[in-house]
Amino acid sequence: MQHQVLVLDDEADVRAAIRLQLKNTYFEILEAESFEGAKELLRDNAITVDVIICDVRMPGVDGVEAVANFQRDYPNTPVIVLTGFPDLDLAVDFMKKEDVVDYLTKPVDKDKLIAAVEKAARTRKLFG
Amino acid sequence: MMTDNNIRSIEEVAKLALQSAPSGVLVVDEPGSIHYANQTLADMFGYRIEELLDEPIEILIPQQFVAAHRRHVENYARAPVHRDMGSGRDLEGVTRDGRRFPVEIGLRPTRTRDGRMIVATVIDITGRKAIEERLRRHEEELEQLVEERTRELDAAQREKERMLEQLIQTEKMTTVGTLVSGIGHEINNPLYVLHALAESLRDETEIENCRLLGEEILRQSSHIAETVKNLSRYARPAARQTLKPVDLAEVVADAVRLIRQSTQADQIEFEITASPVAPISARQEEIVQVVFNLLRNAVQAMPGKGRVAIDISADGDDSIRLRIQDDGSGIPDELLKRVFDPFFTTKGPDQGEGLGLYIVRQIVTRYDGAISVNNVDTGGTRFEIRFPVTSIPAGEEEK
Repeated sequence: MQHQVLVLDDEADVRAAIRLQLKNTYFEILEAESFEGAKELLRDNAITVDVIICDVRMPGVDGVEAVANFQRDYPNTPVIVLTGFPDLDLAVDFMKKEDVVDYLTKPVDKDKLIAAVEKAARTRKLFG
Repeated sequence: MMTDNNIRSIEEVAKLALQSAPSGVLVVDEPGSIHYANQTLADMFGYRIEELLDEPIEILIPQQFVAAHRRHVENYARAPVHRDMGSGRDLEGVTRDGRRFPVEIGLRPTRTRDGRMIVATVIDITGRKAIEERLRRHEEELEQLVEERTRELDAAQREKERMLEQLIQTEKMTTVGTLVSGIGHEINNPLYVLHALAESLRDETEIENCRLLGEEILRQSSHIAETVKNLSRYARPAARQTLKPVDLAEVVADAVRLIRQSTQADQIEFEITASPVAPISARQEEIVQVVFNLLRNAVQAMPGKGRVAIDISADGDDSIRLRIQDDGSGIPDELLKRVFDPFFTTKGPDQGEGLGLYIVRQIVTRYDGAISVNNVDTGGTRFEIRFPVTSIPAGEEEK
């Protein structure tokens, strides 16, 4: 069975960097540059997407809203927030939402990202 | 009219007028004996007319004024003058049963066959005095009211100026905060890309020199990231949240959860003891910031393993004490008093630029709290913060 990570970030370079950091893992990377794109990919790959990595600030959609939306429609799919905002109260807000949400700030170390994704994926299996 | 049947002569008219005049009338001889009193006067003092005749005038004067009255009479005898009603001092009469009441007296000396006499008119001014007193009290109250209102207006004006100043400051900080936050975001995104590429360079090359270059880039990019992080914390707009009751134990739990995310904290044990305490009135994220910065400081003071003890307890009825103690190497005594200065740091170049504790003190003092730092005998450093337990100022509650 395939294991996928859906990356939602409006910057292609950032998506490429995430892909680079996760390239030696068993995850296949799906990239979306918009919230709508991410929703479409999720519709098609609901079974195989283990983890969503989501930016906070993107044109057109608020990251907090996007995360809430994902959690509503795909409650078993954990979301990792990866943001360029070193914003502490935002972190607290997210941490309180769901246990499965992890909150990472850019730049994140490869090892830390991999550990977070693998941990999140394991969480999902418990639900699935 | 004078030709009325009951009034036959001018003497009779005069007598009638005198007897039933609305003022008390009194005729006293020079030594001070009463020769005549009309009905109004007798009624005023509670006597029958005949009881007053030939009595000394002093029976109508309160005891404490008698001596003064005698002197007055002597002076008057030397230079008798006409005195208008009300032109005298505040005078008092005393009734037969000892009740004192304010009177107004008019005097006029006159010569008679029996020698010099003094004709006096006496008016009971109890009612007027009462009205005057009420008026005076009203005036006083009014003055007091005006004074109070002026003070209130002054205070309101000062408060308005203070709030305006605060607003301007908040506005400035919000602008700076938004700017820094935006710049932070703009820096962190490409920095992350650089970071990932440098990792790749470090991990995927066989060439030692390239691996070292990758490592150096990572070290420098971490430094940039840390600087951006601290700057945006420093410039954070304080007004983003309203004041609300903040549970310190909850804040500590949040901060510990956040600090655990840092790889540096992997081997650190956090021991929390929290007595039940009253909430403090604050912006929650600022207090999280305080605890987070202190914890980060503690963690950085203990490379590798260590233990951080966090203790929350009441300190009397009106203050709460938070202690954060590490078992690291401590801070040299001569540097202790400088740790809260901006840009003061004993850490390496990739561990921040010395704003963390400065921000802590800024926030603590903003809430009228106090912070102190000490080295403990067993090794390590203890930070102690006291927050006052305060009610939330009106208008600052969370909507």
